[in-house]
Amino acid sequence: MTSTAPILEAESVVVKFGGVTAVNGVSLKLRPGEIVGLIGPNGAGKTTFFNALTGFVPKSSGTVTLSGRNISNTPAFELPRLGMARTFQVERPFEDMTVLENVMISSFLHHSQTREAKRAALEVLERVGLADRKNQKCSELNLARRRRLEVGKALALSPKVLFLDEVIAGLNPPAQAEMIEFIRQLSKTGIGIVMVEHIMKVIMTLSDHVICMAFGEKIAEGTPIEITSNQAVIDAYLGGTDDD
Amino acid sequence: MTSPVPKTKFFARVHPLMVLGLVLGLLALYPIVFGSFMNFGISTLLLGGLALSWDILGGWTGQNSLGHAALVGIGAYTMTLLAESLHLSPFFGTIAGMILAALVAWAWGSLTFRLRGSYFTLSSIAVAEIIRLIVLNESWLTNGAEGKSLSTFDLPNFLYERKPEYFMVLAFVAIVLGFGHYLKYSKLGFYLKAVREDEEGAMALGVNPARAKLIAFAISAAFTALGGSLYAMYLQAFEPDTFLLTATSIQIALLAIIGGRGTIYGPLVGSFVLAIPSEFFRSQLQEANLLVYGILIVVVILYLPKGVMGTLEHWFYKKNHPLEKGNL
Amino acid sequence: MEIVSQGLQSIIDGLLTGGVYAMIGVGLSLIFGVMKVINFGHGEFVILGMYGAFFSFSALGIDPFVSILFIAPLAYGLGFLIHRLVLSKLLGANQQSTQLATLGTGLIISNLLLLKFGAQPQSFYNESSSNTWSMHLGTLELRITIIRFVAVLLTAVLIFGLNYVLYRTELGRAIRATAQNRLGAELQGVDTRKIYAVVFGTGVTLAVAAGVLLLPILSTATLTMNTTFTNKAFIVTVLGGLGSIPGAILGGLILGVVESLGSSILPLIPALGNHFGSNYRDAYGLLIFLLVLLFKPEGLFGRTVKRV
Repeated sequence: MTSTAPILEAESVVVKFGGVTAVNGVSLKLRPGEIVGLIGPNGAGKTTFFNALTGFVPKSSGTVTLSGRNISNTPAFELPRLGMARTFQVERPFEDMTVLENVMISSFLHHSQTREAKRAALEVLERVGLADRKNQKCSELNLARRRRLEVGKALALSPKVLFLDEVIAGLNPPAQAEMIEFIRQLSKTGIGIVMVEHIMKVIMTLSDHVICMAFGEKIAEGTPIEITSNQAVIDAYLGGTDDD
Repeated sequence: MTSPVPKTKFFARVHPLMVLGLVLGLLALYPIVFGSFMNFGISTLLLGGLALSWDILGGWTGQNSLGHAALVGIGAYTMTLLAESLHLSPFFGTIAGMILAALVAWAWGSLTFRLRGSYFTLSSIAVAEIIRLIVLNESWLTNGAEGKSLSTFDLPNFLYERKPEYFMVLAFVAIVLGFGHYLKYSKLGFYLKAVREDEEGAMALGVNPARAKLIAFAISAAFTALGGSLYAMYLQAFEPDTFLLTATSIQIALLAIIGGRGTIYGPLVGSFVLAIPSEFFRSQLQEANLLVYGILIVVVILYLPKGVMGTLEHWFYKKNHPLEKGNL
Repeated sequence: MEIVSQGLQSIIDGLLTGGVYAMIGVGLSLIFGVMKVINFGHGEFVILGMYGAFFSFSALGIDPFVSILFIAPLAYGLGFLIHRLVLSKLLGANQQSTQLATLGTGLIISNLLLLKFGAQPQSFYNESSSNTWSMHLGTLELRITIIRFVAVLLTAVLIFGLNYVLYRTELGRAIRATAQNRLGAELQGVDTRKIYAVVFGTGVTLAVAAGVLLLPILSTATLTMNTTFTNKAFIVTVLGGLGSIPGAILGGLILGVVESLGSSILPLIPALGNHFGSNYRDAYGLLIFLLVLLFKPEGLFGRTVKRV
């Protein structure tokens, strides 16, 4: 199911803000087609680590390589071209533009002609089930559709590595099930996925590999089963798992 | 701004290029209908073209420049100086001016785009003023305060007649309008729109905001310089204060904003709206023609914040999509 | 030795001019500090002051140093009114809209002045315009123009007064509260709309007063100087930090000295020929302005400004 050479490697990433160390030497390896789940209580530094890997927060030290290429200092906007895409926890659609136009921004990355970009964007809309809403302005979409749009925009970049930031939380159960299955299918196409999610059940179902953070450090790492029985993880969550 | 495919049911069958053709056609009739008011027609169209050029930066990137007068001056002076010293045809002189303006804008933007909003505007005033002072003081190059004039050695004769001038200016407006249409449906246009709305979100999708804005600025500058060259041909004689005062920058910017920034025709409409009142002030009262600009910008800000065309577009959109969130 | 005496004289001249620049800038800084809006029409109010003083002198025979006493309250009323009629309606809108509105009102004012007085510069003659005091430092003789010195004194008085109001009165407390946190101030019972109107009125008054004082100094009233004054105001406030009053004072002094030194010292440097002198006077300030904007936009005393 997964080939062995990692497509993304983060080595001892440290992020400091002023005097505060938000991420203290966390490492991660991602193989094509693999799903890595990133969990941890609030304030653990997961989002900061996430942002550091995707170029939205500068690293104080540590390296990140994508397909062997050092991207530690690459500006965020160059990463999609190199094969990395991300979603935002609070969706960021371009409100004043239609659903189709939003995805076209992404498909323009690999298709300079408007006609081609439109065609490619329509394909993605089909995949995420938004084709019927293509001409609607984003301000009019409900949450589930905004989420799918957010994922669609990332997908249209044809990434090799996809960072998903809490795409499941907040959706109603049928929508959650849909999204979970969708992500699973994505990984089968060979895309490596890093997901932050605080719904344990979801992480356990989807992830091949789980990293647990607390207080900026990696406190545990392993398969879902190993993690759920890991004492440090249980302690970090102060006596229980989040079950939404 | 509206989406690429014309949305409203009423206009669904009307292709944008047809509208453009209609507008240009009507404008082309002006010399026939109003032949004795050529100066008025030329200056109105010219200002409209300059406002359209400004809007490529102001409307599309949200960076408000109050320094475009410098680019007008670069166009005018470059063409004139090259015609005079190298006997370069005004056609090539204009192109040279456009290239120079684009380069200046690229450097200018590279330095100052990092400044947020008003700080950028302040810096644009300063840069333009410095350029004006240089033009004023370096008399060995520009003839300083005495200004320059175009003689018959510089331009072919027919270019001094009003009707040909009008059509050249119309061509200028057509080019900028055409570019505005192109922009709306092009990758650059999409990118600029995304950057304007959410710069960071756009970056996550592979857009380089700085580069997109610089390209827009360079193009805006080139077109502004083109307008400047035409302005010089029309006036035949000019001095630094003709083009380079902050008042000119303000005038251009306000025309675009009053007419509706970010819309394709807005800046042109702005010029039309202001043409008669400001002409009245200019010819009857000899001065204070910017009074109307002041009054109208206050009125527009208070009651028509999207400008004339922007408000019209918004109104049409609401009429055709009454049931959407925020419209009722 | 010539450079030294020229330099010192220059610095003195610069400080004196800078004092008036400071007054122009303090008004702008006050408005920005409280309302978070740059008054793009600030220079127009300075011109209004100049012409007001000119009119008082030529039509009514009143000396500027006297007419300031009734021009100032009128200016306050005007500023207050402008806020009430126009700006207060934009309190919910974004910064850009309000700034465009200030640009518009400035345009209206300067153009109305144009209509009334025409574009020709009006000259103002006052016998005491060029009187100077002389100071002796060793072998050097330095001259202080009396009028400028008086103007700086008046500036100091006005700024001192402003400071007193801001820090020792209830009104001042309300203003500072509004500046820091509008919602919080409202919750404490402050009528922030009125505060904004008061602040704008005060800012306008300071600009107009600066204009009145500038008339005897410059000896002419010119309408085309509006952008120059607005630019000076911008430079002064950015140098000192937008929103900081002590900063504006310092910024004004620095601007005055920079312009003065640039104009008088640069011509004395052999390598530069005679190229840069007072002809580029305004450019020196503009260059410093750009440098500050690019490298330290928060100025000397301002808080950090968000950069892209």
